[in-house]
Amino acid sequence: MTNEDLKAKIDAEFKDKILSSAVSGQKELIVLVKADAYVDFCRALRDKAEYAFQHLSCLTAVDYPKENKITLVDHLWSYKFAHQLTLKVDLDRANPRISTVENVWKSANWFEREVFDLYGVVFEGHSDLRRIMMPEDYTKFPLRKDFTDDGFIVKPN
Amino acid sequence: MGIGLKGLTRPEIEQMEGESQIPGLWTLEKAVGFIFKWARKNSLWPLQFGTACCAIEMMATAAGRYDISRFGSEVFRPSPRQADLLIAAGTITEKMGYALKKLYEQMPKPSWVIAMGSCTIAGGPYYYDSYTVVKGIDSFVPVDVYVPGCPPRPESLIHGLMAIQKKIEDEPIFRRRRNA
Repeated sequence: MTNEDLKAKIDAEFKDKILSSAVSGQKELIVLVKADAYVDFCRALRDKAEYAFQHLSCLTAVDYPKENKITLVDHLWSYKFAHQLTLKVDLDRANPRISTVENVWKSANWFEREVFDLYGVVFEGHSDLRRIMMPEDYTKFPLRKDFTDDGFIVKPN
Repeated sequence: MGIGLKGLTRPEIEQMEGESQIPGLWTLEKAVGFIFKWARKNSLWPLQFGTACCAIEMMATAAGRYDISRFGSEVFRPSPRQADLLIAAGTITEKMGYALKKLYEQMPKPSWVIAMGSCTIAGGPYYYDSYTVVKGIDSFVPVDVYVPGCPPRPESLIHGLMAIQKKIEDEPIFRRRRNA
């Protein structure tokens, strides 16, 4: 199944759950999902035999301060069909909150902790939402574009 | 082998006697100091603490080709309580900094510290745009010898070790360690 076929299939089946979908120049299928349908969409992709996305290979985020949003990016992978899907969710930058997909893929646990640590996205229902890399008493979110700190030296151009 | 103290005058030693509340420091230093120094400098036991690529060079230094045991320093200890030389080999992040400080404080005094590589000296390649890397470990542990390089070759580390040995020879045996 090519990515175009997969796109057509997902477009037809999850019309009410997704906002847009596209196959990028690198032949990568990118699906923008509604925030409230995120967990249902993920569970359906994992469980339905024709998709079989058993593996969450990456979960990260991108900060867009000008557009006032933080985009959550999930990379899914199917061992069975060897196809890949990039899933995006737009979140409000002032109060980024989203349900956890920890119950769908176990590996999301640490990924979500990392995104919480570095971007400040709160995952509702997460079993253990603590900082994973920065010191526990740290209060800032280093990968946000407007991050500044005392010991942080920006490279002069 | 030096008997007496290089670079320190008798009044300075007497002042140290007063501060340390140990009478007869000068006499002791002259009588048995060289034995202490000889023993100390030829049996420096480093702490096995490598955090990044400098650790590879440290391992190479300990291995056969460069062989740090020629300088009596081959006994890498996994416990800070048995070590008296801390070779900080590799990038120290803020979170690892707490561990490094704790390890230093657990080492029995007198102990010495080598800052190995650019990262531990000043942040190295992570000086700019890094939110985690400590810009020099000398902000929280007292460093005796800086070994520059990214990473330094084993010869450089051996040179650093010899500088520590020189330092042990030149310092009084009851030298006071400053607290970080």
